[in-house]
Formats: sequence, structure tokens, C-alpha cells
Amino acid sequence: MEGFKWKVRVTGSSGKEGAVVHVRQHRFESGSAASFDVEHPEVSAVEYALGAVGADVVAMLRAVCRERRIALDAVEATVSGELGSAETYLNVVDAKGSPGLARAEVTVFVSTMAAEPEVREAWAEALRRSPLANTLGGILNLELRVDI
Amino acid sequence: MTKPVRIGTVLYNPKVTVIWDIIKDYFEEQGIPTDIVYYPDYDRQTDGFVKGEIDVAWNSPLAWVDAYRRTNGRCRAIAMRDSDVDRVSYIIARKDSAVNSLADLKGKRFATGAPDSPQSTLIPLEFLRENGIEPDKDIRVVRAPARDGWQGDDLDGEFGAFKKVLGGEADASAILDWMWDFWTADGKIDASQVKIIAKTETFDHCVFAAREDFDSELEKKWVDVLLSMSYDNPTHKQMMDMEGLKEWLPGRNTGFGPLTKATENQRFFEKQPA
Repeated sequence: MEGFKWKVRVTGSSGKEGAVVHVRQHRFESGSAASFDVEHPEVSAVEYALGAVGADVVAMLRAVCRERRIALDAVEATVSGELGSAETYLNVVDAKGSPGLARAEVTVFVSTMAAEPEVREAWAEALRRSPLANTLGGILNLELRVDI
Repeated sequence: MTKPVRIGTVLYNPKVTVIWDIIKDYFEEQGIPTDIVYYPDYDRQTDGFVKGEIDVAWNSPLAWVDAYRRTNGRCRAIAMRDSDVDRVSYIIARKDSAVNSLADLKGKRFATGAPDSPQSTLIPLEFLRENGIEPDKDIRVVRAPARDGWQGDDLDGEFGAFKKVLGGEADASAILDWMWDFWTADGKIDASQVKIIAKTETFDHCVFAAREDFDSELEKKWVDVLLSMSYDNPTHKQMMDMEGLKEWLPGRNTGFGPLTKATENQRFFEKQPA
């Protein structure tokens, strides 16, 4: 099969540090690379990345369940992440270490009438096939909670 | 382009960046280009201050005393929070204990906070000594471990000392009046369980220090801009709530006597690693 390459275009936004992401006919704005301000009006690039991982896992689980004809009443994921060295990102004097995401925890909650073993098999397949979960595999801690 | 004013601060939590982003933005709006230099701890910040890496340092009280000492007094206290002025430490004991005054502490145990804490260790120990209770002689000092580089800005040790009093491991400890108000208001301390048996003399807390060679005209303008920040401005209010103030005030050198005396009599800086 031939490879497929996605392309997005990113330009500087009118804000101080942000960017605008252009994807096909869509666009969205991102704030700074990472922000520690809980009241910041923009979504940071790190938050988009965490959201993307959650979306990847949720979408993949739903796709696999649909293929297996497992009805899900509701699916929800919470994702948290932490930089290895926020100090390096913030340019603290003498800071060392990688500013990359060092840890991310994804917890997926599923509500369904299906048998739990069936859902867990679908979850395992979803994780095997999820593009972003596999990209970030080394730092991800993934958990599925099933409510029947 | 005008050379930016370099302000040093210790980044003890990434959330601190919110405070400094607001301050930097305001100074830039007011025509004073500003660089915020984040340091990992006060020791390193004071090194940077002495070496001229920064023009102004946001100092803990101990960092101020250290900077003043290491520059041979060639620095100025230029601004501080309203909440930094005339603080005291309360000496507290359990309400059900027989300790009702300083004199009752002889032969008892006194829990301190971090070894470098002005309000829960250095100033209270000096206060006891001045009141005829020699630490480690007339009273057993139950000490807490140090956290490198925090230069006293460690509230866990202060609260830990309080818990030792409650738990019976010590008979008294010291708490900054500000923290007492905060912890009794949020329920962390049940005021019905403890009593205040004495309070230290007043002292000042954090302070902006400027190097002696910081341009005096620029300093005046800088202080004017800082003092013009208003709690009525929602953005400034966010910063002020996080930093614990309602108003910036002019700084003064005179509020650090008790801490300076404590560090000298306890030979605090002589004991520090080179």
C-alpha cells in the first residue's frame, strides 16, 4: 500500500506567542507551547497534544467496538501530562533535562451493556492500532475502566 | 533599544510564571523593557545578583540579608508587598499544656521549621535567647531537615513544627502571623487546640532589592510603575492574589534587624557550604 502523508500549515497568530494551524479547510488557534496559567484564554500546544492522544484512543476504541458490534453507551477519557523539565522550557538558570512530555496518563471510562471481557479485547485491539498512543507509547500509562 | 531591566526571581513552582508574565507585560506597557530571569533557588539568585546577572532581585528575607552581607551593603530595598511589612512570629503551645509563657519553656522542647526559615527557626530562636532561654541549653530544639537553596521559603517545615506540638513531640513552635491567619481561616489549624504564648518583635518579609549600580532615575521610574499596579485592575488582582498582596509599597532596609541579628548570633552563614 502506498504511504499517505498528512500536511498541516502553521502560521504565527496575532497574539504574543500563539500559532494558527490550517488543516485542509479547517483552522484552529493555539496559544503558547505550554502554559501554567489555569486561566489562560488559549489552549496551549501541549494541551492540544494531550487532547489529541485522548481523541486518538477514544476514536480508536469506538471504531473497534463498531467493527465488533459492541454497543457503547458512553466513552470518556481523561488525560494528564507532565513535562520532564519545566525548568528547561522556562529557561531557568542552570536548568538541565528534557522539556518534553515525560509522563502522560490516559484513563478511559466506558459505559456499556456488553460483557466486560469483550470490551477489554476491543480495548487491546484499539491500543494496538492507535497511531498516537503507539507514537507516545514509552511515556503513556493507559487504563480502561468499564462500567456495565 | 533601551536595555531591559533584568529582574531575578526564584521559580519554585511553574505557576509563578503567571505572576511574572503579568508584571513583565505591565512594565513593557509602561515603557520599561523587562527581562525576567528565573533562578532555581535563592542561593543561585544571590550569586547572580552579586555577579551582576540581574539588576533587581525578588528576595526572601534571608536572601535579602545574604545579598546585603555579600555586597557589603551595596544594595537597596526598593519595594515590597503590603503583606511584607511588620510581621511577627507567634510562639504557640498546645492549649491543654502547662506552658503559658516563655519562662515555662525552660527544660522543654521547641520545634523549628527549616533550618533557614526566618519566621519559624532563626528569628524565634534568637527571640528565645534574648528572653533568657538559650537554645540547645535551656531548651531542646527539635529541628527539621533543610531543603537546599530555599533560604527559608519553605512552609512545610513551619507547619511540620506545628504538627509536632500537636502530636506531643514538642512543647512549642513558631508560626508567622500571616500563616497563622491563613491556616486558621482555611481550617488547616484548629485555633481551639493551641494558644499563643508570645510574639516576636516585628520584622519585614520579602523585598525587591536593587544593586547599588542600578541607575537611580530608572529605579525611581521602575518603583513608580510597580506601585501603580492596582488591585482594582482584574489582571493585576490575579497577580496580587497569587503573590499575596493588595498593594506594592516602597521598600525599606530597616525591617531586617531581627533576622540579621539572628543570622549573626547563630553564625548562620558561616555554617553554609562555600
